[in-house]
Formats: sequence, structure tokens, C-alpha cells
Amino acid sequence: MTVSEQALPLVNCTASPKEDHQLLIEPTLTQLATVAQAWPAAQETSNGFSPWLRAQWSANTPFDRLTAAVATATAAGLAAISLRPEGAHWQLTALRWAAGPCIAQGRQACYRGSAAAVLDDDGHWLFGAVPVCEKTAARFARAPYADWVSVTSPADHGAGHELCGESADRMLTKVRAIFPKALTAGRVATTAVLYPGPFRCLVFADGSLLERGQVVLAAPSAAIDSALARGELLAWPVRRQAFTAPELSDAADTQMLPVRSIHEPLSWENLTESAAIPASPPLNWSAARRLLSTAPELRQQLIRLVEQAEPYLLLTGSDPDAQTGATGCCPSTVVAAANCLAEAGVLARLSRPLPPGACPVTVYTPRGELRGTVARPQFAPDAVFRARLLTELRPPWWRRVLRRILQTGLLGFVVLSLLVAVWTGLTELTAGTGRQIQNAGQSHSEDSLAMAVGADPLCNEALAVVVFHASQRCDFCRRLEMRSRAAAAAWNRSAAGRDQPLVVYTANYEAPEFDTVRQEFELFTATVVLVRLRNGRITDRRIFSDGWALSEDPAGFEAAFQRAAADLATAARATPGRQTGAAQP
Amino acid sequence: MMEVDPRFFDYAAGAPIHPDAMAAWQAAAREFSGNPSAVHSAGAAARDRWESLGREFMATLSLPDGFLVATSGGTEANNLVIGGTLARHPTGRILIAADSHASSWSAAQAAGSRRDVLPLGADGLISPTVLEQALKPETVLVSLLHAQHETGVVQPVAELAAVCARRGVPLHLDGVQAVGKLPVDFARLNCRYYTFSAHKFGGPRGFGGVMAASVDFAPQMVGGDQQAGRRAGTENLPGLAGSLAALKAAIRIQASERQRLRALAVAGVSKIRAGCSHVLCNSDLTNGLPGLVSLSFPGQSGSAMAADLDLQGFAIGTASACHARRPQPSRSLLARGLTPQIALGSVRVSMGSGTTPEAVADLAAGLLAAVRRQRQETQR
Repeated sequence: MTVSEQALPLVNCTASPKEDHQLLIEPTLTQLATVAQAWPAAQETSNGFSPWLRAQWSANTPFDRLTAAVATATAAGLAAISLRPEGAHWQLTALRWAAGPCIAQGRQACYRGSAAAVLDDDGHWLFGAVPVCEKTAARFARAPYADWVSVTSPADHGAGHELCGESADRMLTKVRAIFPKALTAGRVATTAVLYPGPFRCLVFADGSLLERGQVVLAAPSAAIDSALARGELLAWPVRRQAFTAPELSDAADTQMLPVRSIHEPLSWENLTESAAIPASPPLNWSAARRLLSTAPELRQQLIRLVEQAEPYLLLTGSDPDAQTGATGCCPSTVVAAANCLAEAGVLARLSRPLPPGACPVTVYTPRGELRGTVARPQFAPDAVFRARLLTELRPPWWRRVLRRILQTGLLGFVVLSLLVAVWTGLTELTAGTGRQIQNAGQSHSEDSLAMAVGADPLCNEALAVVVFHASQRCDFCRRLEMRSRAAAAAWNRSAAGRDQPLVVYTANYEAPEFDTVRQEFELFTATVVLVRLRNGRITDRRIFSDGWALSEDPAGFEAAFQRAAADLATAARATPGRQTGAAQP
Repeated sequence: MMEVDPRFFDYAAGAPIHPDAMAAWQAAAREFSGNPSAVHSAGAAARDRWESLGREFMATLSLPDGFLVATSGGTEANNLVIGGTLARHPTGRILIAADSHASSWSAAQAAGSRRDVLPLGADGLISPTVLEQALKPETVLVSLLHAQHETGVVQPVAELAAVCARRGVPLHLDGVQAVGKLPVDFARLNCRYYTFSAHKFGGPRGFGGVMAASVDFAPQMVGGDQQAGRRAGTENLPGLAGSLAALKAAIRIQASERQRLRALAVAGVSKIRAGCSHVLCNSDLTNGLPGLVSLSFPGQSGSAMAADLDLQGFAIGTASACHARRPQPSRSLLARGLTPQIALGSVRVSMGSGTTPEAVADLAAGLLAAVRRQRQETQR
């Protein structure tokens, strides 16, 4: 049977959740449950559609509270529940279906998403084309189902038969029984994903079962990738960039129900001196384990924290995943990971007050150890929790032993290889082959730098600019590159530039191949290096240090850059450069 | 002296107000409510008091026949001298020390390509020979620090001033860190302009100024004829009264404090060096600014160490800031030849009248603990 992609004519719109709704701001679970249970169904409203219930929580709300909110809405009998980043918040949308006759008129619903099958809140199990009643067909034609379900036009077969029956809860129980451990069966589950709804669950062809509002670890597959690409699943942790500026036009038809926030951000800025330090969010070890598996550097720091009995861990830099991350100072993936651990309740954190121009510093302790007041924190080490944390942080003994064996073996192999190489080199030298090492006299860092600029040994004389950046790029580093490119272009238009043009390259100084460059130049941040090459060899290189201070001053940057380039070009003419030592043909 | 927390080690950023200064400020604020520019008798009384206090202030620093242009602080004073000179001499060049305070440095940026930078030696000192060579016929002002705000290095101002005098170029000395802590004898300094800030020596915040043998700069703040048109705005009479009282108090104990603070600095650095072999001391503990110690811990973060010490109850300064959303190593330290990484790992400890030997010992222990934690953090 061919499934029509045309939406049902009986519902003339795919009603947006933004229409005809009420909004709860930071409700507690109790408040949400109260409102959800009293939520009207479709026939109780004037226009025949159920209003949408919307609830918003801040982007840094602990996720287990959001999961509990989804469960609360489900338990209250709401349907089409969806939990997604919306504006600057997490937003839950839900409505209540009206009761009504369940009579088939020959329509069929076909799920068009990436999973093999889905289960909705009315117990409809959709896989391929499934007969549905008029009531269900109308629901599937509405947002948010319309994105994932097509409904056929009425057909004459099956008319008048009752179709819907089994409840979603009973269906889900059966599904859980069928796919008990499907997620990790036979493969390594490495992809943490969130299914935001609106269906009760998705089942993928490989047996992966993803329930609404839950973060699960799934085995990577083409279907999971497709679902992520289509927005049907969200990669976990949800990047904070997914949260955008709040929409301003919502308020007009929205009944605001301000209630107490369930999670106040902890910082010195918004708390008084005598304010007590709030308790950590509920502990979520499973989320913490997943986070720690992807943050080895933080894991090591936490191990040292516990082993050295340090009272706290101080991390500098901003969270690149935070809402301010795009423009935050010194973005740090370690800070991002630590913040996620804090949200999972494993760590307690305290932000430092920031005067203008200060680099963010955040204090972290194991859960429950941060006491006193916000202005005068005290640290009370909890030996029991630390011991538990250490067991989570450290790999099992057999893995440590295996690693040690591998390390020893690798070290032995390297030593042996070096000995063989040295012996071979000595043999060749004493044999008097006359073969010279092409890059003799050139330091490792120069080799690396030459690699960064793709030095062409046939190029007689050249000037280049290398913009070194870290793996995590920030506004500053992009601006530095932009300014360098603009200044180099201006240089190339000048008379001196036509004589000795500049080429701009970028390189990640955190890449292993640039270790020596990073050490020699002490690269710790985005840095512009001017380089002079001759016959593929670096003959001069200078850090353009003025660029740091002038990155926000385009004219000043360009002027200083021109001076530095002119100095380099002048030096190029004045000094012939080092001989290459390359073998002559 | 008021009770000052002995764990406060950031006097170079701002010293606690001296009780004499507080009393003088309050008395002047109560007694002289008239505006010194007003024609009525209350205004005349305030004007008389303003002028007598100004003369007394200058006499205290051995400038009986000069000018005092009061400002809101050291930053405005430096801007006034440099910006005002550049405005008065639109084609002239300015020669500025590489380690100048940001207020002078930024004001000199207005000169664009007419700004020349005077390099420092590895010890932070400026060589008179280098100064002589750097002067150009178009140079209309030389701007130097008397005492460096991050390292405490004290320049050989007499020799440098002699070079400027010989070449006929006006010299501006930024004395914000020096006044109250070092003997300042304007008559022997042989400079044209000397700028200061009151809250660095126990005076009230919001008062500073330029002392000048003669004035050759255009006003930077206009809209009034106060202070002979050199700086518009109602005169801060209580600020001047408080500053004068603080200055007198500081000078009273200057000699003994200088000796005491230098001994404390030596003791503290010795303790830190005993526990951390890789620390670099950027200060001259014998001849530098008393009690100001700049330390560098290569590869570590100065701001994180300051934050760690804050958690331990100590207040110290850092030598870096985030500019353009990245950590910016101190220009002053870079000018001395320190690498960016070393400069970023620098902190400034500055002591004052409330500092005790016990607090210095505690600070040394706290700093070593912070260094140890930092090293663990940076280990990979």
C-alpha cells in the first residue's frame, strides 16, 4: 500500500505549541503535577483544541529534574510531551487529548522518522502503515507529530471497525520486556543521546530502545546518526549553544505563572554575603560515569584531589558550553566537564566574583564539602564520599595492570628502536657514504613550523604568517586570525608586499606535531608568528606580540603588523639566512 | 591606625584610609560647605582653605613655588599630563617607558606613530644612556615611572632627569606608588610633572593630582575655570584635606616602615624560595619599593593562585588580566624580558602598615599550598 504524504484535510493546521498555551516558569514538580492534573482536554475548550501546557526551566537545571518533570506530565495523563531547548531554556510542552469515539474511516498513519517503530501516548505502535481512527489521525496531523507521521486519505476498507484499545503503559511494559538490554547487546554503546519526545519511546532496528525524556547510551549506528541529524534525538550533553536568546513575542497570549525557581545558579554575584551555600542537585552516578569517560584530564585532576587530600580544585577559564561560552574568556573543556559533573551532583562548585578583565575561576569540591556562606566558604572533606568517588574515578585493577604492561612493552620497543636507529646511523657514518641529513642544523621546532607553513623547498624566499590556535577556538582567536588575514592582504597590496608577499596559515598548537613549537614559543593562547623561509627552511621567526593587545583595534593591529612585516622583510634582505645544508645534486 | 586585616597584601592597589585622613576629610566636609568658585563668603572661605591646603601639600613634597592640579586620581592625572601635552604639541613626539601604567600608556597611544617606547633592562631599570639615545628633536615629553607598580623597581630618577634637563625635554614622573613610601623631594627630582594618587598612601579615594614646576598642557576636562582653567570641575576640598593628612602620617613613619617592610619582604621570599625552587622574584628587595614583591611561578596561573589565596583568606594582586577575552600577560613584565608564560604566572604581594610577621609567614605557607595545587592541576 502506498502511503500518502498529504496531511489530513480535517485538521487544517499543524497547531504550533506556541498557540493557545499557558506557561509555567521554573515550576517545582509538585506545582507541575497540580497544573497537569487539572489541565483541560480538547472538548472543554472553546476552539476545540486542547491548550498547550508549557513549562520552562533554566538551561543549567539538573537534568534529573527535567526527567522527573517528563514523568510527572506522563503520569498526569498528558500527551504529545516534548522536552527540548527553546529560547534560553529547557521547555516541556504537553497537552491532553480529548476522549472520543475510536472509529476507523480507512486512514492509515505511517511513521517517517529514523527509528524502526514508535509508541505514542495512546498506545499506538507505529511501524510502517498502521490503520488509525479519525481521532488519532487528527492528532497525528498536529504538531509535534506531524513532523514524523504521515496520514493517508480515507479508504473504503476497514471503515467502521474499532481499532484502538491497549493502553500505552501496557504496551510499553511489553516493549521493555522484549528489549531488556538491547542498548548494549553485542556492541560498545558510546553515543549518549536524549530522546526529547513526543512519542513514548523509539525502537531502532538494532533493538535500541529510547524512552522519552531519558538520556541513554546507545551503540552507534546509521539510524542513530540519522535521528541526531534530523533533530529527532539530541546528542548528550546538549550543547548550550542549542539554547538561543529568549523569544519576546510569546508574552502576549501567555498566562505567566511565576513560581519559585527549582535551581538557582550559585555565584557570589546573586547571593548576599551571609547566604548559605545551596545544596548540590541530586546525585546521578550514571550521568557522572558517562561524563568522566569522556573527560580523562578532569578525571586525573579529581584523582589527585582525592589522593593528595586537597580541600578543593580550582579551574580557570569559562565553560564553552555555557550560554556565554561563545564570547566567554579562556574557554576550557575541563571547566565544561566539571560543570557537567556539578550538574550531576558529584561536585559542588562556587563561581568567583569577576572584576572586569578577570579570567573566570571556579572552585570545585566533592559533593557536600562546600559549607559556610557564599562569601566565606568552608571546606569539610567527606572521606566516605571521596572514597566512593575514587572508586568511580579509577579504572579497575586489571585495567591498570594491563596498561602498565602495555606501557612497559611500548617503552621497551621504543628503546630498542632507538638503539637500532643509532647503531644504523653510526654504521652509515663510519661507512662514509657521504649522505647528509637534509635538515641538519634545523631545530625540531623549525621543522614543525616549516610543516605548519607547508614549506616548499623549491621556494627560494618567502614570508609567512602562522596563526596558532588551540583546539577550542574562541572569539579572540578567530578575531586574531581575521585581523592577521586582513593585515596580510594589506601588506600584499603594498609595494613591499608585492616584492615579498605574505601567506597566512593556521595551525593548532595543541596538535602533537607542534609540541616542540609550543614549548619553544611557550604558546599558551592564540598567537601570531611571522616566519621567513628560504629554500623550505625557517630562517627567522618572530612572535607578533602586539597583536594580542591590538586585536580589538583594527587600525592599530594593521599598523603594528605592517611594521613587524617590514622588519622581517628588511631583515630578510639584510641577512642572507642560514644555509640549508641540503645535499647538492 | 585603624584595624587592618593583616592578611591583606594588596596595598599597592589601594591602602586602607588612615584615621587622620578620615578625620581631616570629615572636618573639611563639615566646615567648608561652600563652593570655592562661589562669590559668597562661604565660597571664599572654602577657596582660601583650598589654596592654603594646596600650598601645604606641595611644601610637604618640597615644591613651594609650583602648581598643584587636583584630579580624581592618578589615572586622570596621567591622562592630563600626557593627553594635555600632546594636545598642546600636535606634531611633537612622546617617549614613554615600556612598563608604564596603563593610564599613561593608553593616553600615549593617542600619539600613534609619534609615540616612542623606552626599553627596560632585564633588571627593570632604564639606562640614562638608552634614554639619551631615544630622545629625538621632536620629543616634547618623557614619561617614566618613579616606582613600578607591579615589581616595585625604583628608577634612578635623578640621573634620568638630568638627561632630560640637558636635552631640554620636560619629564613626567608617575609617582603614584612612590608618594608616601619613598622620600619625594620635588626640588631635587628635577622633573616638570609629578603625578600621585591619594588612596595609595592612606588618603581618600577619588583624589590625586599633578604637581608641576610649570604647566604646559591643555586641559582635558573643560566647562569651568576652576584651578586656573587647567581642570574644570568643583574642587574636592575634603579630598585634599584628607590627602594632606594621610601624606603627613605616611611621611612620619616612612623611614621605620621602609626598613620593617623590606625585612618582612625578605623573610617572606626566603620562606617561599625554601618551599618552591622554581619561583622567580622580579623585585629588588633592597632598593625597590618597600614591601612590594613580584613573584613568578612559570607555567602556572597567577589569577588562579590569587583566587586560591582568597579562599585561604589572603588578598594579593595579580599581574595579568583578561583582555579581549584571553589572559593578557603583564606588559610591564614582558618589557623586562619575561616570557608570556612566566608573566602569566606572576602575583604581586604588597605590604603596608597592617602587615605582621606572622601574616607574612602564613601567606608564604598559603602561597606554597596554592602553588602545589596549581602544579597538580597543570600536570598532564
